[in-house]
Amino acid sequence: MTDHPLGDPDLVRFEPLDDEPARASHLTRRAFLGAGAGAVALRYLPSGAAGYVFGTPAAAQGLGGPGASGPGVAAASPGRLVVVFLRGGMDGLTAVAPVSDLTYHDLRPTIGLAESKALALDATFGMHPALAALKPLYDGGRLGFVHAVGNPAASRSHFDAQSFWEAGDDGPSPDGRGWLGRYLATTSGAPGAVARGAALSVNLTPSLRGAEALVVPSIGGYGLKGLAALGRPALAQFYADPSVTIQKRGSEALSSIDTVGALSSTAVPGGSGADAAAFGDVVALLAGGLGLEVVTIDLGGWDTHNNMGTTDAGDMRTLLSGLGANLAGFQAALDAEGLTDVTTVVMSEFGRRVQQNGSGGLDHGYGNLMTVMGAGVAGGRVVTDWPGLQALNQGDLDVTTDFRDVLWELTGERLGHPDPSQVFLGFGHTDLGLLA
Amino acid sequence: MFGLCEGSLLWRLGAVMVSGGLEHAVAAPEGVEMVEVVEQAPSGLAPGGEPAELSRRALLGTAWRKAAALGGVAGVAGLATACQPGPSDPAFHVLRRLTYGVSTASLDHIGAVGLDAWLEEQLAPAGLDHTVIDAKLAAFPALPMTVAQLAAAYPSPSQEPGLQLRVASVVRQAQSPAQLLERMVELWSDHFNVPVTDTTSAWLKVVEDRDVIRAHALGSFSDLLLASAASPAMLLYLDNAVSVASAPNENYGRELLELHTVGVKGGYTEADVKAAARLLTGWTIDRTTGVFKFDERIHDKGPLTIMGWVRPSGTAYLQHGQQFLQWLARHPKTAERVATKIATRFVGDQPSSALVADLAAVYTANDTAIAPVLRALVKHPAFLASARTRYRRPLHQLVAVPRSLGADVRITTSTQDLQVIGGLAISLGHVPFNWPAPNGYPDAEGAWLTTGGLIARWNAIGALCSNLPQIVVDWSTLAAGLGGKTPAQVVDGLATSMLHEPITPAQRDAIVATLYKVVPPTLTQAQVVAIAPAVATFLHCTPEAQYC
Repeated sequence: MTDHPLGDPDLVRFEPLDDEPARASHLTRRAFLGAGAGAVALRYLPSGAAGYVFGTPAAAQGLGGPGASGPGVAAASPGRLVVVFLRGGMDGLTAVAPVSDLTYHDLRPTIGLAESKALALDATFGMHPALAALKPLYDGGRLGFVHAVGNPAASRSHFDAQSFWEAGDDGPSPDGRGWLGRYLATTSGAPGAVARGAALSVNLTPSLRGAEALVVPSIGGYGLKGLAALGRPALAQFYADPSVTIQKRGSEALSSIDTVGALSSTAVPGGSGADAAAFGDVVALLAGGLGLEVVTIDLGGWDTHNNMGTTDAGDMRTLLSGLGANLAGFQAALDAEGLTDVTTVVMSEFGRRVQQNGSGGLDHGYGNLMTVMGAGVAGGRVVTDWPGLQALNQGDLDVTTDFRDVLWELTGERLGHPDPSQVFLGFGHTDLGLLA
Repeated sequence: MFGLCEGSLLWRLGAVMVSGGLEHAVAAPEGVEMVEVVEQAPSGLAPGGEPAELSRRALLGTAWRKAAALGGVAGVAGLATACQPGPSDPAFHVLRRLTYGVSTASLDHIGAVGLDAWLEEQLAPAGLDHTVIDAKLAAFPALPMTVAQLAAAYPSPSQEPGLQLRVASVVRQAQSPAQLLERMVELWSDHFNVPVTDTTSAWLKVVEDRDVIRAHALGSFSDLLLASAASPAMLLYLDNAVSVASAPNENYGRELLELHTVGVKGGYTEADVKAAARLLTGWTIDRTTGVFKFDERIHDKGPLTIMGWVRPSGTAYLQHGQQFLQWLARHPKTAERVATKIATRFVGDQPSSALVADLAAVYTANDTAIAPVLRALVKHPAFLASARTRYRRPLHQLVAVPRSLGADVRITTSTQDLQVIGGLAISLGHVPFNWPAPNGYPDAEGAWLTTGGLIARWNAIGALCSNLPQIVVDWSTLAAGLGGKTPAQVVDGLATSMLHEPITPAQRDAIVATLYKVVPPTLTQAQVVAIAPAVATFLHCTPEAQYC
């Protein structure tokens, strides 16, 4: 080593580059093109994990290594919350439908949920058979639905509606924060917490705006590689001043790399596709002793303007089948890890038009379905003040329950916020009794 | 309008000091006489041309650039303009903001011709020398094809057309001389977002990118809007191709108003959305040729009013839709929205209402022409005041690193090349033509400046500097003249050649401390070359280098 190109080998901190370039990830031609994304990818996840559109998680290479999740730091809140946002406007009237209502079938002659094939939930509602994986959770009282729920600000714009939901408001965020950001900003975490909030996403989920949160495209890719890893001491110096936003973000990144990057994604039993890997990452984050209280995850593909198919086959069945399998597998993985304090809530920015359009799809609508699952849920019910399909709001299912009533209960009772009015500003709460 | 060389004497002196004199300078442009500026060095220099530490540091920031381009001073263009702009000059800011990254060549060129002439060149890009980029684009034979040709050459489920489009867009950003055109192509590709999801959408997007986005990127917004509305890629993506009078599909009609023109606060109602969808029924795709077709049989011919626009009488049904689009393009709310988009991309997340109003007024006064808006932007005080504050989106940073290093980007559609460029773009969450929603990739710092985003970015920068066969960097040139200097001087010198801007002394010291447990007194030229990839990585990972 006397001819070490950097000089005396005892003096330098690293070896020079070898001939093998630092590859970005195990990506293939197939992955870059997005083969297999198919028609579902045409619909979308506005703020979500674009990397998953390819079917290969963003930077799958990572530093790797087996899970190193020690006891770590427990969350400060009594319960923890996972927020699943179905981007694009999930059609709650296919997932859980009033299958004995003739008007429903009149308005949806081809794409409606067939009564004979629906899984009965109660006297009014049936669940799509593609969601069968959720039925045991429903029957066991661990999963419940809220129907005809929505935002009084009746925007049919994806982008406005999503931003209002994520603001936890009936309009633009009054303080620039998202509702989870407001929760985090008005409460304290456990001492030593690496992070209280995290988004399983490429871009920051807007509901977390206004507080510090990790943004983790995938835990496998959450680490420094190659020359960037060699530069870590320099990065630590570059990103040291918390009064400068980018330096603060960089400092948070560096201080979370060792803990998050050391985790291993948890298997999601029966899970389906790239979303299963994302749910597995959520389980690992929650099990990792980071002090996390809220985690968001985005699932895309729900803007079903055309070719939804029938109960038996087609795009909507595929979407619901994946959702059901992944939610059920996620709960099973949480159970297997002994994470008994996690509650999951599933939402989307609006429902869809009751009457199908000429393309076998549904345009933007209004009232919709929310799902709550896991710790503390008094499930096995469809909670609704059902408005029926006879008196529609501009052709859409009306909203009889404010989405903030659902989130308020979760914030107060599961996250243990002493005063959820600090999160849902100016909102008068009505108790729905969703939780046991 | 801008005096590029004000203060340039000081700047040149500092440059000489940092580089240690002209003997290390890059060769002057052909036909240009080198000038002995070493003699202009102030007193205080240590013997051998080495500057005293204090004065060298004091000059950093305003006077730092190496003497590489000084040969132009006495050359053809004369003293007034023939020098590179310094980091504080408006022309430098323009290169940072309106191109995909500052390069030595671009600094030389804007210094030679001046900012105004540079902008006019960029606004008429056909006159630029496309020899190099055209040769690179020959690797992507799908790009000039019609839909019929693409369907014949790349039958489904071929991945080639989408692949070629994605990769070619990165190659163009990195190496096309028409940098402002590429920036505007990216802006309009976001504004009229159409993702590539399968072979069919790829055929259509290849044609749309060429005949709609690129054809009109610097033309008139009205023409761009009409071309987009009749573009098979858009017609398929937002379902207008299957929207029929008996049961209209509202997807395109809504996004036309909300995203493409007046905006969500543009004053329209749900009834207006439905009427717009009805007006555009019959705008569909000829299934045999893959080109636009107006099918009167499925067109809603009834009377309608949209936002106060009333359908004319008569049976020129296609023209009715076109007239509505032309009316929409000239709507004051559309002017405001287009102005906001441009101001956001090129000034900042929350552009002032004054800037937006000024640009909107130019848009309207010029009948939706885009070039006058860009001229007004560049001369606007708000633009000039915003230097170094715009967080680069990931793909911008990905391209800026090889540009600043003067790298030759050799990317084709080979598997190995895709593993590199595709892998990096995926890891950054910013793959061309892959945003699934119709609103395009976010253009806000808060969306991208995240923990995971920074980690991916640092890793990507490191990969780009790792001697990839696709990103060919001439480290010897970048390291020229730095042998025999102290590590601190070497890092500062590399900042000059690799970043074109100085770093702070603290950053410089951090890099040296990262490189060496025990700092050697001097480095040989070979040692400088050996550490150059690592130093390039660290330099491009500074907080400041993430901004343009």
